[in-house]
Amino acid sequence: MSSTTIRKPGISPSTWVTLKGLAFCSPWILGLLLFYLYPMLTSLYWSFTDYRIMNSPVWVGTSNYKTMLTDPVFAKSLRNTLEYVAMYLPSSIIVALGLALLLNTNIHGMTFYRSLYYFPVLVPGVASAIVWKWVLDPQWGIVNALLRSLGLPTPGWIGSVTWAKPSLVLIALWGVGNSVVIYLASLQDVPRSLYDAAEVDGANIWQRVWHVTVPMITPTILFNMIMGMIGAFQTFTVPFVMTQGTGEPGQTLLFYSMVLYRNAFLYLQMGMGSTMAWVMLVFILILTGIVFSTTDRWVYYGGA
Amino acid sequence: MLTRRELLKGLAVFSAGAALSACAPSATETTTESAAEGTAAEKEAAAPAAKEKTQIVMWHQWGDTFAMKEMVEDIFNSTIGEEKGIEAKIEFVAQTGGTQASEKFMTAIVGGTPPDCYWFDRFLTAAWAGQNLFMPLDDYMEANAWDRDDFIPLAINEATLCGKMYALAIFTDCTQFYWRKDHFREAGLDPERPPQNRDEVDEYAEILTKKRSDGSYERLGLIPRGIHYGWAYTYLGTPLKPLGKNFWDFEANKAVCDDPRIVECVKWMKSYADKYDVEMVDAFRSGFGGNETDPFGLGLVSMQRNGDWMLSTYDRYFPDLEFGTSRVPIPEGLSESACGGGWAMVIPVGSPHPDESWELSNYITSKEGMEYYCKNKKQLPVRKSVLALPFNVEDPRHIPWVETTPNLWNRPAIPAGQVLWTEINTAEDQIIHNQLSVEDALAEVNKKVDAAMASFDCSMLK
Repeated sequence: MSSTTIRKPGISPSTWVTLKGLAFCSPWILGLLLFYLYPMLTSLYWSFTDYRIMNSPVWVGTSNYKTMLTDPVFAKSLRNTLEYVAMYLPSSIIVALGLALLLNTNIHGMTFYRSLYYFPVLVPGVASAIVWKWVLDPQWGIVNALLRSLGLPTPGWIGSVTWAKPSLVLIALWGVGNSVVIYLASLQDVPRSLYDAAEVDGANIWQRVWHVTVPMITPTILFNMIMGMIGAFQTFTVPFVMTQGTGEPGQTLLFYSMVLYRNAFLYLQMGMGSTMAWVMLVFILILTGIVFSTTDRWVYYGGA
Repeated sequence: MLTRRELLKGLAVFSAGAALSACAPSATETTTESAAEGTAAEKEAAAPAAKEKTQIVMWHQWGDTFAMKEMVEDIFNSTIGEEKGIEAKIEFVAQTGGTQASEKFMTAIVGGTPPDCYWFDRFLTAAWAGQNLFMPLDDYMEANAWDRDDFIPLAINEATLCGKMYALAIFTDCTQFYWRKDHFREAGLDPERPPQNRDEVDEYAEILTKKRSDGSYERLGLIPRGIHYGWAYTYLGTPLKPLGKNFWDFEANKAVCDDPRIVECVKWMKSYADKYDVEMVDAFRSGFGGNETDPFGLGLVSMQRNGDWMLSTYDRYFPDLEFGTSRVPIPEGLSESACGGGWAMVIPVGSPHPDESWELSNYITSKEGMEYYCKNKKQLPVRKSVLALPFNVEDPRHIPWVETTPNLWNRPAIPAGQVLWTEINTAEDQIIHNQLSVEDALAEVNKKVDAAMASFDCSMLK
C-alpha cells in the first residue's frame, strides 16, 4: 500500500506463529532429543571405544567392528537370526492373512473369535516363554504327549538342534494377532464392486482372494513385512528365557540380540555392545531399503 | 436393563477402583511402618540414651533365605548391630539367566545407587573387581587384624586380584559323586560299592541305561556335563602351586584351556554324547529341573556329579531316596582335586555405609557366623577351624565333600572370568553337538579369553 509500512519491533508475525508452534511441540522435541538422539549418538561414539563402564571410554577406532567381522560367535548368531527371519516372515504373512480372511466372514460370534485370536498378543513375553518351554518339552510336554498318544512321531522341539528354530517360529506365530487386526482393517477397504465384478466373470473363491483381495491390500502386506522383519531381527525374550541366555542346544538358539546382551551386560564391554547395536541398525536399514526398492513391482497404492 | 453407555461407565469406575485398591498395599505398608515407628519412637522415648541406628541393606539373589535372614536380621542386629548401632536388612534381587550375577546390581553401582553390601557369587569377584565395581578390603583387614591364615587357599585366591582382596568368602561347595543304590541293585550291581575308577563308571553307565523301543530314554546311567566347574578340575590332578595353570596360566599370562589333560577329559565327555544319541539325550535332559523335578531324585539318572547342597534337597523332596555318596571316581594314576564354588560378601564402590558393611561382612564370615550358617544350611565352611568342627561330618554322606574342601581349586580369578565361563559352556555345547572338534573349540576359548584379558592391566584398578 504505502512505501513505509510500519514494522513492529522484534519478531514478525509469521516467525511468532512458528515460535508458538515450536513451543507447543517442545515437550515432544525435547523427548526426542534427550531420549532418542542423544543416546543414539552417544552409543555411536561408544562403538568406536573400549568402554568398561566404570572406566572412561578409550578410543580404539574400528577395532570393535573388525573383531565382530572375524569372530565366529557373531557370524553364528547372525546366521541364526537370518535363518529365523527367513522362516518366520513368510509364515507370519500367510498365517496372519489367512486368519484375517477367515475372521472377515459374517458368521455368528465373530467378535468373540477376533478377540480370541488377539489374546496371545497380550501375554507377557517371559510368561509365554516359560509356558511354551514346558508345552513343547520333548519328554514331558503336552504336545508330544498328544502326538505320542496318537502314535505320531514326536519331534524334539526346543531340545533338538533341527527343531529348535521352527519351535520358536511356532511360538511367534501364536502371537500373530497384531498383524491380523491390521489386515482385518485393510480388508474392509477392498471395494465390494471388485468382488462382484470378479464373481460375474466366474472367479471362484481362491481366484477372488488371489486376484482381488491380495493386490488391494499389498500396502498392508508391505507394512507388516517391514514391521515383522524389524521385530524378528530383534528377537530376544523367548530364546533368552528358554535357554537361560546360552543359545543351546548346539548354539542354534543363539540370536544376535542375545550376543549383544552378553557382551554388554555379562562381559561389561559396553563398547562392543554399542558396535553390535549399530551394525544391527545399519543391517536392518539396508534390508528395509531393499524391500522398499521392490515395491514398484508388487505394491498397488490405488486404494479404495 | 443396562444401556451400553451405563455398562461402560460402570466398567470404568470398577477398573479405577481396582487400580486404586492395587495401590492400597503401599498405604497399608506405610500404616504398618508408621505403627512400627510409633512403637520404636515409644521405645526410644523410654530409653532416651538409645542411639539412632545406621540402616544398611544387603542384596541377595536367593529365593530361600533360611539361615541367611536369621543370621543377618536377628543375630547380627541383636549382637554386633546393637553394640555398634547398625541395623541390617536383606533384600532380594532376581538373578538373570546364564549367570548368578545380577545386572541390576551392576546397573546400581554404575548409577551410583548401590546397596551397602552384596552376597555375591564368588568366582566372578575378579571379573567385577577388574571393572572397578568393588571396594578393596585390605585396609579394613589390616585395621581389624583379619585372620587370613584360618581360611583355606581357595577363599583367598578367588577373592584376590592384583594383590588386593575384594571379597570375604562365606562358604564353598563342590561336586562329588552320587549313585542310586536301588538302581544298582536292580541292575545286578553291588549297591554299596560305587564305581572305583573311570572305566567302571563307563561300564556301569552302560548297564544302568534303559532305552525304550522308540529310541527315547527311560533312564540314563550318567550324563557328564559341566567341563569347567565339574569334571575337568578333577582330572587335572593335585595343584603344584597355589595359583597353578588350570585354564589360565598366571605366569605366561595366557589362557591354557587346550591343556592336554583338559582335552582328554572333554573327549571322554564327548564319548558319552557319541555313544548315547545326543538328540535323544538332549530331549531327555530338557525336562530336568530342580527340587521336586530333580532328575536324580526322580530316577531319570542313576549316577551323577552334584553338590552337597543337594543333600538337603533330597531330604526334603525325596525322603525315602536310596542313594550313596562318594569321592568322584578318577582315572588310574591321577590324584583327585575338585573345583570349589561358593558365595562371598562384597562391598560395592559407592556403598553408602562401607564401614558398617564391613562389620556385617566380617561377622557373617567370622567363626561364629560361619558356624551358624554352615551348620544350619549344611554347607562347607571356608575356615579351617570351622571345617574341623564335628557338625560337618555328623551326616556321613557329607564326608566326601568335607575331605576335599582343604584342597579345592578355584576357577581362575581373572577379570575375564565371566568370558571364560560363558565361552567354555559354549564350547561344550558345540563339541557335544559335533559342530567343532574338541581342540578347535578349546582353542577358540583361548582366543576369546586372551582377547578379553589383552586390554586389562593392574594399573586400571582404582
